[in-house]
Amino acid sequence: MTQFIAMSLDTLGTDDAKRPRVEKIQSDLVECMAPSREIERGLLLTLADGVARGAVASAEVEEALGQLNTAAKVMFDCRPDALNALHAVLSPGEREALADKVQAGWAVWREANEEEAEQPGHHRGRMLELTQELSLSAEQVEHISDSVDHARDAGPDSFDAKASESRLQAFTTAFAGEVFDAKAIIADANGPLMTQGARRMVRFYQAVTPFLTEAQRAALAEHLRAHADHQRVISAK
Amino acid sequence: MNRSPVTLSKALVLSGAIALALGATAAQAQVEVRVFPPAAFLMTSRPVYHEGRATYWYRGHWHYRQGGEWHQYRDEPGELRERRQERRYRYEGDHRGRGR
Repeated sequence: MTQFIAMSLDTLGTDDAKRPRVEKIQSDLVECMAPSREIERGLLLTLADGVARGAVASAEVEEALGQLNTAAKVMFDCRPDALNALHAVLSPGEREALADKVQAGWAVWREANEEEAEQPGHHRGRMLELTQELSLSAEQVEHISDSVDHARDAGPDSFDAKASESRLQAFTTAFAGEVFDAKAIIADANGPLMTQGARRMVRFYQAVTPFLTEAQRAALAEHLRAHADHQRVISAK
Repeated sequence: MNRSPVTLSKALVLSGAIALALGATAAQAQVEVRVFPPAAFLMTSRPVYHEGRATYWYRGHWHYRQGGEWHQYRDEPGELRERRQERRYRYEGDHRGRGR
């Protein structure tokens, strides 16, 4: 959720006079996300190693997922001052626009992550990307699709979409209002969203890896490492 | 006031951001298709603030949200028309500059 807020500031369209203050607040929010981004980067590298080896070890990724949940709590404690400053600097119209953008971010995230857990074959878009990137054969696509569906059925999610939505809704309603105190928010959706997104990614690569050739695994591992490097670049900014 | 009186709640939602507003008289039936900005557009687009609220130019209309619902201006307000033209000139200017 903090990421939705930080991203929304890129396109909020505030006037030039307040832009430096908004950019400083955005930078503070990005700083709050640094520990979780570093864990996500480590998770990508762990996945890359597992893919290259031919199997992604559950124990290694579970450790990273646990750390991600802890990092979300650290992020939650870090950001109230930035959010209160943001509320103070924005006009009522800008606050409403931000709230709408955060809700839109949630809708996009849900389409990409949570719906997949409920609908067989919803991973087809990602399969198409993987097929193009690795030149998968038709037989591989069939095996991998079955494997991803099976992994989804075998490991039901503990992710509570309604609870996350309700926390997100509580935040956006409060933020759009005249009076707002981020310290009064006792829980948010950061932890569940980050963990669910990461868990879904892990599950996908665990299901895919056994059906790839050595060369395809090497190419996919390289792709994951490049993505991890991108995370490092963002953290360094 | 040139705001559209038709809101999403009064329309028949077909899918996603597409809504159909149906109006019929004894002599003639009218079907008006209203298309509202999807979430990915809202998330990534920069609004123009008009009358204190964020408005978005999408598929030939200015849209804004109020009470959790999308509305659109039936007639384009002068200020928004000017902003749209400014943006277009800036965009075209940027592209001409790159081509040099």
